[in-house]
Amino acid sequence: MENYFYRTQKNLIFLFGRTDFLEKTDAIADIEKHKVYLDDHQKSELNNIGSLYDFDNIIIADNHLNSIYSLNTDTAFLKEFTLARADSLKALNKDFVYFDASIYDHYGQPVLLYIIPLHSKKDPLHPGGFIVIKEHFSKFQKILYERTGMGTTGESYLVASDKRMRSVSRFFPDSPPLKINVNSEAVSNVFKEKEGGHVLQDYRNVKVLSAYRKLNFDLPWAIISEIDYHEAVKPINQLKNYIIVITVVLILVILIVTYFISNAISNPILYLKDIIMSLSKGVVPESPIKSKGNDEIAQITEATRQLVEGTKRTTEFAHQTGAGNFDATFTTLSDEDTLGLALLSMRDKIKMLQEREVRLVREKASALLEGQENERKRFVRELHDGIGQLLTVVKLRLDAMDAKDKEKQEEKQEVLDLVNNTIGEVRRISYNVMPSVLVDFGLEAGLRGLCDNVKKYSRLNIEFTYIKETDKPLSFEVSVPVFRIVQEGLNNIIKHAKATDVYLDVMEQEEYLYLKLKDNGIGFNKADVIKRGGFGLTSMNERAKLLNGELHIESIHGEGTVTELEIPLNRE
Amino acid sequence: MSKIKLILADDHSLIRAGFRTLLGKNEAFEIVGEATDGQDLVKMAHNIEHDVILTDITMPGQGGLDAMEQLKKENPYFKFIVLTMHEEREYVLRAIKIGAQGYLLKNIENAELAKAIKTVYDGGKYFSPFVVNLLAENYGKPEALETSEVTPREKEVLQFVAKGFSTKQIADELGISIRTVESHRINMLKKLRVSNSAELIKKAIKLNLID
Repeated sequence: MENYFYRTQKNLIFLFGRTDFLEKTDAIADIEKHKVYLDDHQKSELNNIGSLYDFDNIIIADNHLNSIYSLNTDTAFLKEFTLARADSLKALNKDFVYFDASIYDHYGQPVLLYIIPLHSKKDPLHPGGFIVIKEHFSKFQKILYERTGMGTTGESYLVASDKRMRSVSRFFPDSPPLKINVNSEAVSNVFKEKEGGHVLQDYRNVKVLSAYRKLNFDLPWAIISEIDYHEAVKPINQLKNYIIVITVVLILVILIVTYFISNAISNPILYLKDIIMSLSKGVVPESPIKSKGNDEIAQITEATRQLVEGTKRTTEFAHQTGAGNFDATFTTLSDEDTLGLALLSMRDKIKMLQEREVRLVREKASALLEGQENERKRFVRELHDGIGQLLTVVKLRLDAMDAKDKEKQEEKQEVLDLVNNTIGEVRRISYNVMPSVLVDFGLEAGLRGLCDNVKKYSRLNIEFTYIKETDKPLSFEVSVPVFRIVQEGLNNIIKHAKATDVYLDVMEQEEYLYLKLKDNGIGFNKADVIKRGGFGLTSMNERAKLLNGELHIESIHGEGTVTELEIPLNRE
Repeated sequence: MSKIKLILADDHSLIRAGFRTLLGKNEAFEIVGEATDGQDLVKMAHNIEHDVILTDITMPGQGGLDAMEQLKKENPYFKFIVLTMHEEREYVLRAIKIGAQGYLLKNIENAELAKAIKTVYDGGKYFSPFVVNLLAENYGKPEALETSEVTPREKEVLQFVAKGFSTKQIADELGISIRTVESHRINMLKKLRVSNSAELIKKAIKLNLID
């Protein structure tokens, strides 16, 4: 704005200050006489200036501002202006003056005049006339518009110190500017020499964002740029909203991400915590532990998994050991696995104790049976050597006795038979108690003798097969119990089976002995028999067990019974 | 005619007395020595001139059979009659194996005893009828049965036995117990009338049961 004024002022001073134009000051006298002597060249120059600068009018006036010459007829406003300003013009000493006429021309536009005093040589102190140039106001409007790209509510306008507008209001385009009284805080501020910008009420009483300053110029004008607060803050509000939305979204995203990250971090930790807590309570977690990735947590998880696995194995081992499975082995978790080593040594100790106990029990039982057998042996010797021999002696003596008559002879023979029978009975008894052939010739002889004896005293048909596929002798410790088992089995057959045929098969290999006793009797119900504690099955089983053997009895009702015995042999 | 000189070995004095009484009635015999155990008998047999030794089996310390074995090794011309209460096959067989010329039970009749001593003295042998029965029992076994009686399962076991598999290995191979394997094996031994696995395989090959 100022630039425009300065330029205009400079140009006008240059134009009208030129010698050739001012030469006409001689004509000032004539002006006073209301006569202007302008040649065609000067007239056209005035015309050119008027159209070049787009002035409303250029008037040459006398010192009372009466028009002497004008480019057009619009000179009426001069009178009105003169009335108001005549005095100030008389002492006008400047080359160029602006006048805000504070009036309207007949177009309804405010009148702004540039006045250039014309001085005569005769009286240089008082102007003899004036060149009055009426400015075209729409130029300011244009400048204002050019500078104003202020949305739908923004405007820049000019206000003079009379607080009336000088430019057309955007909001009241049909209203003459001077009619618009701008009584706003901006105006009162600006003419108190304050500049700046504020949020305030404008001349329409609308809340606006206002920037204002006084024009740095001779005119008492201020330029005010305002935009509705509402519109001005709209982008800010939008930005604010954006920021809020973005902030909210960001917070949400951060929350979600944090949630997942913290879950990803804390879940495994909590999971591990639970596992370790349960471990500390002595409970080994059942479900397998998974570890993903390769980060520290995964490493800790892996370590925990190994801990749990180790504990599981240890527990399982302890469990098995506790359950008496001493064959359970266990690889210690490390060389310094105190618990594992302790468990291993515990297992070995328990195993040792258990084996010792088993051995002791077995030794005790076996000693008992051995004592029994020794007792039997002794008893048989007594029977055989004592009673048997005595009976033999009785028989010899009886035999040697003479019996004269026939009656005596018969009587002697009767007694002899009786004695013979008694000897036979003693033999049978002593055989059952402890057969000497078992002692002297081993199991095969003992069993054969047993079979022979049974055949002799029962109606059973016994088929005995003994296969010995080794040269090594069978120890007495094995022979006697096996003999007793068969003896018991045969006893059962004689007493209960009602069988006719019995098969006794023995296979003696180097490392074990296999025996099968089979009959074609009526069979029996094992459970019933065991419940009644009968048939000496317990003692058969007991003897088999003492030899680490297996006794297997299968009986089918009506078809007979098969007793099988399998004994591992440890020959030395 | 000189009397037959006898040594009597028995740990029971009553028995010795009984036989002394019994034999003393017969003028043909003279008891020249009475031993109470095996060692005693060995000493006596060497030191006393005699014709026949009558010995019991069961005696404290060295038994009669052991003493006989030792003496027979030193002098196979010693003549022995076992006079015992044992009638089991094993005793009889062992006595015969060692070289006993007679085997009698103690409840023998007077006359039979005299006959036995005389027979042995004359260089013969005398065994009681029960001994003869015992010895005869092992003879006259029937021949092997038809091969069709061997079941497929038994044949299967047989193949493995022929390959030298142990019973445990066969049991593992066929997924059955040792008991079952042995049962099959014994059944085959009995069916083919053989007494051990080696004979079983030989016979099985002969009968084309295995290749």
